[in-house]
Amino acid sequence: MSKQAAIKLPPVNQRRVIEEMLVLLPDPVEKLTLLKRVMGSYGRIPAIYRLYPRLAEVALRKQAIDFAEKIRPGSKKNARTLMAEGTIPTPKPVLWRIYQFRHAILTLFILVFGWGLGSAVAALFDLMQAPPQVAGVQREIILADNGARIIYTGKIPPFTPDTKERNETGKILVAEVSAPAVKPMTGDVPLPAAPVLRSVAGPAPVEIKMHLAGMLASLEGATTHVPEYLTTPVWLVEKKEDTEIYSNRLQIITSHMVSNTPRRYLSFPRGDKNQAAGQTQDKIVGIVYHASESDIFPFNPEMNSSLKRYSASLIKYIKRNKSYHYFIDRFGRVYRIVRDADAAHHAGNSIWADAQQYHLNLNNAFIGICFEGRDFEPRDTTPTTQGSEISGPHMVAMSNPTITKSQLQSGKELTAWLRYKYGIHQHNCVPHGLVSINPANNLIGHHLDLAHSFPFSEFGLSNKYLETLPSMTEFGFTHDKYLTRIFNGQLWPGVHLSRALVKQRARKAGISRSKLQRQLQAKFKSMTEVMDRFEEEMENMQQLEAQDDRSEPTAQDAGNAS
Amino acid sequence: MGKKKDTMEQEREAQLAEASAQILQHQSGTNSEEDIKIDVDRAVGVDVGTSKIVIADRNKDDVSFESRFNAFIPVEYSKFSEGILKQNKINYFKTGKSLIVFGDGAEVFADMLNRETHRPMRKGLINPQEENAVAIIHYILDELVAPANSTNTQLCFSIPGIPRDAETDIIYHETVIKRHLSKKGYKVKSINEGMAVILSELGDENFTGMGISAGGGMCNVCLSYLSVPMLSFSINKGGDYIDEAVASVTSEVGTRIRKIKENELDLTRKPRSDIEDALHIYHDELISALLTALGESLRQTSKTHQMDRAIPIVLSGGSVLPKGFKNRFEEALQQADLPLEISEVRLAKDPLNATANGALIAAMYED
Repeated sequence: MSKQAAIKLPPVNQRRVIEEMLVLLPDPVEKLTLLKRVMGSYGRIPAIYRLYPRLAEVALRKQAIDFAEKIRPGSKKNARTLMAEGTIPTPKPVLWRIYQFRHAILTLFILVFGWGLGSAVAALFDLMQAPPQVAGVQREIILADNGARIIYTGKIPPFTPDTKERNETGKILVAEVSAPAVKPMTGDVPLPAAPVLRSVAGPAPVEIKMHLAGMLASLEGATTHVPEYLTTPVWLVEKKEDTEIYSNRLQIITSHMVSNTPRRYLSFPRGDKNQAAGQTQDKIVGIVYHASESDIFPFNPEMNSSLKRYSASLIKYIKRNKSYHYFIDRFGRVYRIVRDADAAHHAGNSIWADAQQYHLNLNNAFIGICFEGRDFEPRDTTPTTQGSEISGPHMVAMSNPTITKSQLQSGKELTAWLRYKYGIHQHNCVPHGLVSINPANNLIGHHLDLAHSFPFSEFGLSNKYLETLPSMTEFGFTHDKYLTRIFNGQLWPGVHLSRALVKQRARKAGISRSKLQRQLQAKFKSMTEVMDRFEEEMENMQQLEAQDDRSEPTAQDAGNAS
Repeated sequence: MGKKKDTMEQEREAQLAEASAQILQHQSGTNSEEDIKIDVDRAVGVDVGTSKIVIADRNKDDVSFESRFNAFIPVEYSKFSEGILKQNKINYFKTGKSLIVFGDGAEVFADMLNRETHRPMRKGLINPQEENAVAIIHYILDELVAPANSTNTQLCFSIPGIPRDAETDIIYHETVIKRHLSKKGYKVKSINEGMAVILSELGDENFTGMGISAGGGMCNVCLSYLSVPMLSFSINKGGDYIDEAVASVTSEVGTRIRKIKENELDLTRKPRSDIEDALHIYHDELISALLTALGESLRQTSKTHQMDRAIPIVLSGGSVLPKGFKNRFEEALQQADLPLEISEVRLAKDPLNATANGALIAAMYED
C-alpha cells in the first residue's frame, strides 16, 4: 500500500523562489536544513504579504537568506554576490524597499485603518442616538419642573410655517420632547425651557388633546395635583391704609391703585351657532402673567437704591398707562395698580379659550399680573441680505430669566387669592406670550413675555406650553421664522401641537391647511368686528355717561341756584 | 625522557580540553530542545538491510562506511569449534548447545559447510521465524555502531516502506531497532529507504525525484519534491526473491546463485547458461513488478499533478549492481507508460552505501 504525503507544497511561484535560494548552500546537509526550514516557514509569511505574490516572494527570499546565514555565516554576502552575478534573480527594488520597511508601513496602515474604523463607529453611534421611527411608540419625557412625566404626542416640527410639511400625506408623528437644562427661576427645581422636539411615528393628532388630558389625569397620582379651582380659603386678614394683608401671607400695596374703564367685554360661547354674536360679560375669568421686559439692574445689595428707584419709576409708568392690575417688583412686593373691577391695558390683542368660551382681547376678562424682570434679551441684529424675507430677530429667549424667587412666591400667593376669590379655572391662568397675537398679519407671539420658563406647577397650574393655542387652532393664526429664531429653533410644544391639529382638521374636511386657516381667520375677523362694534358702543355709552355726570346739577349747584 | 614527558603532557592537555568541553556542554543548561545543539562533529547513518547492515559514520569531516552481512549460521557447539572462531576473530555467541556465528563469518562458514545462511530479516523486516533474529541484529549493530560520544549525537536508520502486497506493518521492526540504538546513547530517528537514496543522490536536484532502493529483501520506492515525500511504497521482491526463484528452477543453492549474480551476471548480453537465463528472467520480473507497482501507486495518488517538471530516477541497492540492470530498467520504463515525466534514470554513485549515506544526511541536518 502506498503512503500518501501529508505536507502541502507552497505555491508554484514560491517553490521557484525556494529552489533559487538553495544554490546558497551546496553542501547537501546544509541544503537540506535550509530547505526544511524554508518549507516549514513559508506558511508563516504574514497573510498581508501573500495578498500580492511578488511581495510574498520577496519575503520568502529574505527568509531564505536569513536562514542560510544562520546555517552558514557569510551566506548573505554570498547571496548578494550571486544576485549581482544573476545566478539568483533579484527582486524589484520597490518591492524590496516595501519589505524592508514593512513594519513601519504596517503600523501606518493599522493607524489609518483604526482611525477610519473609529470614525465610522462614532458616526454610527451618533446615528443610533436618534430615536427610531417606530409607529405607535409614545415617548415618556420629563417636562414638568416637579419631575412629572408627561407622554406627549405631536407633529414633526417644520419649525416654520413657510416650509413644506415633512409628510405631505398628513401623517402625524409622535414627537419626543426633552427639556434642555436651564437655570431654574426658583433655584430649586429645573424649569422647562425651549423644548426640543424629535420625531417618531405615532397616532393622529385628533387624539392629541384628549390623549394629553387623559395622560395628565392619569398621572395626577404621580404628579402634583392641579385642581381646576382653588377651594382653600384665602381671606383678607387686615386692611391698612395702603396695604392689604391676606391669610396666605400675601401683602398687596394699594397706594398706587388707579381706576380704569369698568370691566365689560364680549365673550363668544363655544359651540354656539350664533357664535359671532357674542355675549356681554363682566366676570373675571382668568389671569394673564406678564414680564415687564424692562431694563434690569443686577440684583445685589449694592444696587438696592437703583433697584428701588427703577421699580418706582416703572410703577409710575404702569399707573399712567393702566397697564396691569398687579405689579410685583424685584423684591416681591405686590402692588395693585388697576382695580380688579376695571379693565387694564395688558392683553388687548390676545386670544384664549376655555371649554366654554372664546376670549378675544383679554384686557377685560383677565387680570393682568406683571413681574418686573426679563426673559428675553436683545441681541445683535443680523444684517439683512437683499431680497431676504427675514431680518434677524432683535431679541432672544434668555436661558436665565431675571424674575426672582421672591417675585414668584408673591405671584403664587396672589394667584391663589385671585383664583379663590373669583373662581378662576387653572386653565385660564396663562402667560402673555401664549395669548398675544398680531391681527394685522395673523401671527402669534406679538408679545412673548413668559412664553418660556414659567413655573406652572409651582403655581399649581397645568403646563400651558403643552397645550394647543386657540389662536392657531380656532382662528387660523400661525407663526413665522422670526419667532422660531427668537427661540433658537425650539418653539414650545403647544405651537407644534396646534399645527398638527389644524392639519388634521383640514385633512378631515378635505381641504388644505392654508384654506382652513383662511376660513378660521375669517371667523376671527367677523368676531373681531363684532367685538369692535361692541367696544365702540361701550365707549359711546361711557362718553354719554360722562356727559350726563357733568350735566347733572351738583348739590353745590343746587345750593347756588337757590 | 624529556620528549616523552612533553608528549604525555600534550596528550593530557588534549584530554583535559576535551573533558572541559564536555563538562561545559553539560553545564550549559540544556533545559529545552531549542537549547540543544546537535553534535555536528559526529553522526551515524545506518542501513538496516535484509542482506547487509551498512553504517555511515561521520566523525568531524571524515565519513567512513562499514557493513556486515545480516546473516547467521548455527554451529554445533564444541570447544574445538569455539576455538576456531576465537582464533579467527569470528563473531559468535553461544546459545544452548549451539554456537551462532553471525555477520561476515556466517558467509564463510556457510561456504565451508555448504549450507545456507539464516537471515534474521526477511523481506526487509525482522524475520519472525528465526528465534534469535532480534539478538543477532543487536549483535551486528553492536559490532558496527560504537556508543555515542554525547547525548546530542544523532543517528538515523533506514526502514522500509509499507509493503503493498503484505498485511504486515513496520511498527515492531522500527521500534525494536530504535530502542536498541537509543540504548547506545544516540538521538535516534528513522528514514524511509527510498527517501534516504534521494537525500544521498539528489542534492543537486534539490531533493526532487524518485529514489529506488532494490535490496535483498524488498524494493523501496520514494517520490520526493523538494524533500517532501509525495509517494512511498515497497514490494516484497528483491535480491533474495531472484535467488530463491532461480534456485528453485535450477536446483542450485541460493548462495551459489547469489555469487553468480554478483560476480558474473551481465544483463546486456545473452545468457550463457540456464542459471543466467533464469537470472535474466527473474530480473525482468523484478523490474516489471516494480514498475507495475509504481504505475498503480502513481495512478492512485493525486499528488503527482503537483510535479511541475520531469524528474530523475536513482537506482541503488545490491540488486541494481548487475551490469545492464539500468538499461533493462529504462527499457521497461518506456513500456510502462507511467503518469509521470522522467528526465533520466541513473545509478547511485555508490549503490551499496547510498542508503546509509542518505541516513547519515538525515541524521546530520537540523530540523
